[in-house]
Amino acid sequence: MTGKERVLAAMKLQQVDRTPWVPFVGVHGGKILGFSASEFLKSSDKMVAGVQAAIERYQPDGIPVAFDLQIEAETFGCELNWSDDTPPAVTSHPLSSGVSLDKISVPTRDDGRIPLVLQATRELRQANPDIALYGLITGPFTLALHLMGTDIFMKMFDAPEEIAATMEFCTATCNALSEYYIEAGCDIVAVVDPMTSQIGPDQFKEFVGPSASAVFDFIHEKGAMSSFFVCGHAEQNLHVMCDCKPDNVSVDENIPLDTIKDICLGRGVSFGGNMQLTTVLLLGKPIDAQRNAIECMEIGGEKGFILAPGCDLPFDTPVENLEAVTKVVHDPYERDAIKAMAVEEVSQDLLDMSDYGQSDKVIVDIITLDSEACAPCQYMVESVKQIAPEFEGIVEWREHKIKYRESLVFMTSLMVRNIPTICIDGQIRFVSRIPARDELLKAVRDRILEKMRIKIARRRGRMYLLCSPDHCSQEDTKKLRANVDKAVAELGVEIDVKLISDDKDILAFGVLPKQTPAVVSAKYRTRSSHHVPEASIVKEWIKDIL
Amino acid sequence: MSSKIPIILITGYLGSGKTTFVNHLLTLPEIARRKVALVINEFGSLGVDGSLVDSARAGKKYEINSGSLFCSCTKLQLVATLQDIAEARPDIMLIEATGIAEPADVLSLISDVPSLAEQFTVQATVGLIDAKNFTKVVAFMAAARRQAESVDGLVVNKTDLVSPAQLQQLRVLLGEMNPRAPQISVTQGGVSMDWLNSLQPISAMDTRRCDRPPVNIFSASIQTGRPVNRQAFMKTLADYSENMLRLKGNVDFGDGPVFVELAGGDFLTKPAVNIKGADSGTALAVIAWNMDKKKLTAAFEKTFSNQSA
Repeated sequence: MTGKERVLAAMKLQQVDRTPWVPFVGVHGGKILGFSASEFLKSSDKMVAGVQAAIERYQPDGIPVAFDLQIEAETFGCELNWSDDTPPAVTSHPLSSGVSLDKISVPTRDDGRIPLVLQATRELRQANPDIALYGLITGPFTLALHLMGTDIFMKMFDAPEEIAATMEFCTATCNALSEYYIEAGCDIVAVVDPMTSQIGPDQFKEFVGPSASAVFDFIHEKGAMSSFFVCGHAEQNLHVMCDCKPDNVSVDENIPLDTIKDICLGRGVSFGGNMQLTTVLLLGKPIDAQRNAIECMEIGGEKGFILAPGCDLPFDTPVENLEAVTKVVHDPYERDAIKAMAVEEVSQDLLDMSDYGQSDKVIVDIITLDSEACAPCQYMVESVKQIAPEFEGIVEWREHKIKYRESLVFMTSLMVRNIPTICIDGQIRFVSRIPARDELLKAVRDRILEKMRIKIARRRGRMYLLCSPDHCSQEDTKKLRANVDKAVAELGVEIDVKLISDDKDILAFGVLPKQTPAVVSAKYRTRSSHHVPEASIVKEWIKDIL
Repeated sequence: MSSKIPIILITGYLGSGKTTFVNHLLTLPEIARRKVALVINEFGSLGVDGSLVDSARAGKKYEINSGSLFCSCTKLQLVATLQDIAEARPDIMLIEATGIAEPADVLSLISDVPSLAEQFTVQATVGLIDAKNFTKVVAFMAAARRQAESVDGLVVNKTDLVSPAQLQQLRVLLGEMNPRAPQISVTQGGVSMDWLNSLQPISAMDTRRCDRPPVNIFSASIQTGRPVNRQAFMKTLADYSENMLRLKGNVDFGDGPVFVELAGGDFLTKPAVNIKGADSGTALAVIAWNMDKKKLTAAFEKTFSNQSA
């Protein structure tokens, strides 16, 4: 598979030969060759040289051409503040400083720095036919924020119609840019809309959904694939983002990768992310970057996942950290070696949880920071506290505050990664989300039913064939055995059959040796384990078998 | 090893008065006589009065104004800037965070990066609350909500622009959102050093991941082509007066639409305005809290008459 085929196959949820790797090289491409961020983003030659250098060093399957969410805004007349080591920042918002929307036009191929990016795309396309090229456009809501500033949040109440008109204009801009980039040779258009992390799903559906859906439809019509990038705390919107029908959703480390995996794959959308930018890629060592990449790859799985950093790579990301990631992506042996090292380091501390959850009671563990200091933790503990009495002693709950070391070890041993989390009998059930009462009741009831099923399945019958050698002929014994075996075979059941021929043992069954051949059947059932049952309870069991 | 540099982190969305507040802090004698490092991370703001910073003894202003919209870039610049500042060894550092900053993210960054954790300690996080517009913004902007929920002290600013009833409702809301944080009502950001010193910081670890809003604040839109029963409508307003933070829009009580607004506890009516996208006489936007959204919309729906307009 070529890199391009690999990325496109992952986006279509098809099988790939290995995880596709797409480092979001933005201004970091300039850093590799010693250009400042502003030099890099103002020259198509430097962009081409920097991205090409990144391709050679990081051997990616896909790569963005330019990661700069101010390209469109600049053409609208937003002022930019340039920097040496980051993309520029928008410092003025035309619609909040008296400019009317009808005075601003959808950018053409010749406006601002768009021709530079188009030229860079054409050259990179020609030089790298086998790599998936990402054209990045600023998403409609972030564009609207560039135009209106944070007034946009107040206008959601005061003047929603103004936002609607602005979003319509931003949609047209997104479509135009998508068209330009696809024509120049991009395989994928990434709609980068980080500001949507600021709003909830209701506002997303009202203000962003129609625009984003229209943009993704347009990209598909033009024959390209699409990705929806967000960064920040955008977990609440993942469902509604998927409803806009992108081919892929890519997020940063603020959202657990398993969460996005479940939501996206459940809706037929591929997903990507979410290597840690600051603490690992920028400030960590190559081994940290490799571990983080492996962790992402293991959670991401082999279908529909693209390994990428959470957002554009910081200018100063050490080259060796990314080269180290490239190694574990390309070389399974390197990956196994790193994994083995990682296991060795943590295993000393971990508890053996294999028997956890085998007791009769259902154990609910709540992993928290501290329910007194953290509101969500408190609500999670309360939600469990409220339902526990309904099960009249069957459910036992406990809180593990990870500020204590033993709780942290417990959390790691259960492979819990987020706080707060509810585990039922050692299984992670609710992550960073307080379940509704009915949902929690159902989860506990399901576990109780599951335990009952396991218990019933564990019941196993046994048949004792009592044959005293003094009273039974060998022939009778053989015949009895044959009949029992036949009966077992015809019924298709599994029971243990045991021949007892010692007279003392026969007596122990309350049968005289002269009464043999005799058959005694028994049903064995585990009534308790791991604890000494009370006499009153044992009495009830005895009544059962009399 | 010298002691750690205390940080005061100032949050609030654009327009809440952060810059005025910072300017005010710089004039406080307890700060002005110390060596101050000021980190500004806001886009489009008017900027802190440079002369005030300069007059603070050997103070220095650092601006993080690139990539401020996008969380990761901001964090990275902040790390680099704080590393620079650590070398300059100021007595105190003020950070004016961007309006969309997550205080927990900034604090966890300081605790997660060992070189920063060794040098700095968070004295307090302060949230500027714009008394006039906070209830309008909080329903829509996640950062405004999380800032109010997680800071150590809440400065309710611009109180001269609201009625006593509005201010009281806002204080109750903030008390529910962040029961731990003392509130102070001011104009022009005017707080004392004693108040700042009285704040009890919670550690970054404790605020991290506490991003689930415990108080339910929501917006709802109510539209109908049917006339609205005035008496029933007014009763709904009275029944949920504690819950409704904002309401405005057109209502048709059977004799053509009028514009209604709930402001500072008063119900006002004016001639109707043209509301685009609303195909009928009644189109209202409501911001409410501490109740179920469906219950509120159902309550309004009960005020619609059975006949069409």
